[in-house]
This record gives sequence, structure tokens and C-alpha cells, in this order.
Amino acid sequence: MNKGKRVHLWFLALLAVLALSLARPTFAQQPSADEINEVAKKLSCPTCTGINVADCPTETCAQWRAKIGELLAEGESEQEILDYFAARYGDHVLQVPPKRGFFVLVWVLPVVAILAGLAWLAYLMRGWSQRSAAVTPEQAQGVKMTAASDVANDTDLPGEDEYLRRVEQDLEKLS
Amino acid sequence: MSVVEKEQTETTPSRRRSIWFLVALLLIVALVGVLAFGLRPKTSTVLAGQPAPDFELTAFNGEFEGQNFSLDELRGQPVVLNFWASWCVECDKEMALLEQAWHDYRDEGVWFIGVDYLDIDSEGLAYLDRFDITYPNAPDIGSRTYQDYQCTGVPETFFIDREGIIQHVQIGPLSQPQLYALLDQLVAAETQD
Repeated sequence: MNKGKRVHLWFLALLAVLALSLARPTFAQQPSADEINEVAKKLSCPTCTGINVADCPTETCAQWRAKIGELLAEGESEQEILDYFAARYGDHVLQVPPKRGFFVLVWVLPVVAILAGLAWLAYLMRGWSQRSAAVTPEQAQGVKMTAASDVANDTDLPGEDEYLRRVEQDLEKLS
Repeated sequence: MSVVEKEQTETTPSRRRSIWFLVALLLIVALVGVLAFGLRPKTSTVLAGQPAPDFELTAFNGEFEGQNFSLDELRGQPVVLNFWASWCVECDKEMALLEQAWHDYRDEGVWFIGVDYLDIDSEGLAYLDRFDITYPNAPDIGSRTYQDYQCTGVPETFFIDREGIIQHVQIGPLSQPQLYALLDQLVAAETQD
């Protein structure tokens, strides 16, 4: 093997080592508490209510955080760790429910409720606008006509006639 | 416009409103029903006298490591199914007692099976070592067995007769007289038939 070929092979070997080191998992060493808590806060404490694993002081959660650290050190991604815990202990340990099975309702129902509410509101508003559009010109005309006829009717009242006749008589006397 | 047509045009919007109202009402009732079903109180004690739910467990300790256990396969033998966890302080009180009872009743055909609930495997195994537990124990994958048995916590113990009927549900740690009395009943029921 000549010198040039040997250098070439060494160069290739160096490249392969570099590529392998780059392909190694992100958490090759022991992960920090922050890195562990980043995953832990996406899991619910299995023995308490409403507390995530990162904030929980119980022994169970301390064990779970240690397990998360172990998995991170092995190079598992956040999603892989969450999947591991869900498979091992059940979907209820996830802070964000998965979009499958019964949990689909958690995602679908609010959207359905909002859409139903909007549809109901649109229906009501359509009814209101139709009613006001149908009523305004005619009713306004009707009100005017009623007022006018009321005035006319008022003048036709017998008592009113007598009163006017007397006023006219008095005015004639004065003049 | 005839009287009938007039009536129809007058009643249609109100009828449509009623239909919408009914649909909305049905949706609300369905939603409340789903929530009520999900939030209904569950307790294992209601299972006493009922057929025990089947389980599929793979032991992870001692001589039984890797061995599968199901209630169907154990039919004909009394089973004591004990739910525990390494983080459970109350479980400490009965582990040694269960191990002793396993030795005392193994020849009577009674199977003791421990179910490790919400535990890290290494912690669970260390806990079993601490109490020198030799009867089969298995991690509860997906917490399915715990849910099937409607457990409310740990420790909980189910005494299942050879017909697969739950004879007693114990919530909390067992005392020795209580455990042995229950085991005597299970064994006696077996020998009577």
C-alpha cells in the first residue's frame, strides 16, 4: 500500500469516527436536573392529584425522575420516554392526554361544544336580524298610521265637538 | 294565503327552534352521561362475590422470572392476588406475613401472586429482595390489572376461590389472624367440593 493510499484510509477512518461521535445520543453523559425536569413536567404524579412529576416531592416521583435520567443517559428522546411511561403505567400518567381511544373525547368535545355554540349563536342572530328587518318599515308605517287615525278619531268625539262649538260661540260673542 | 298555509308558515320557525332545543338538550345529556360514567366512584369491594377479572402477568422475580400467570390457567386453585408498590409504606407491614403464608399454604395448592403497581422495576425488585419474597410477582403493565380490579390504592388483596370468585377484598394491610382465617376458608372450600 503506497503512502498516499494509507493517508486516504486514515482520513476515511477519522471521518467515520467523527460521524459516529456526532450520531451519538444528545445525553451521552448524565443529564442535568433541568433536562430531567423538562420531561418530568410532562408526566403526572401517579399517586397524587394535579401535580407533575417534576414538582412532586413523593418517593414515587423521585424514582420516576431517576428513571427519566437513566433513559436520557441511554439516549432516549423525550417522546420515547413519554411513550415508555405511558406503555408501562397507562396513558393517565401523561399530562397531555394522547389523541387516541377514550382520550380523543378530551380533544374533540371542546371543539364540538364551541362549534355548536357558534352555530346556535348564528342561528339566534339570524332570527333577530330577520325579525327586525321584517318589522321595521311596516311597523313604523303602522305606528304612524295609527297615530294619525287616533288624532282624526279624537276630533270626531262627540264631547270634543260640543266643546269646540261652545268655544266658537264664545269667540263670536266677544267679537 | 289559505288558513292552513298561514298556520304552517307561522309554526315552522317555532318547530325548528324546538328541534334545535331538543338536539342541544340531547347533546348536553350525552356529555353529562359520559362525564358521570368516567367519574363514577370505583371501589374494589363491590367485586366481592363476583367472578374475578382475568389477568395476564409475567413474573419478574426469583424462580418464576419470565413465567406467565393468568387466572384462567390457575382455575381450580385458590389465588391470593396482592397489589403493592415499593413506595407504599403500609405494604411493609404485610410483605413478610404474605411470604410466610405462601410457605405455609403452598402445599395446599394456594397461589400467591404479587402485582407491582406504578413502580420502577429495579425498585420493585429491590423491595422484594428486602423482604426475601419468593412467590411470583409481576409488574402491572399499563396498570391494567389494577384498573380491572378497581383498586383504590395499595396494598389491596383479593382472595379468589378455585372457581374464580372473589371471596374477600382486603383494603389496607392484613393481620396474621385475618390472613390465615381467610386462607383456611379458601382451602376448606376447595376440599369440600
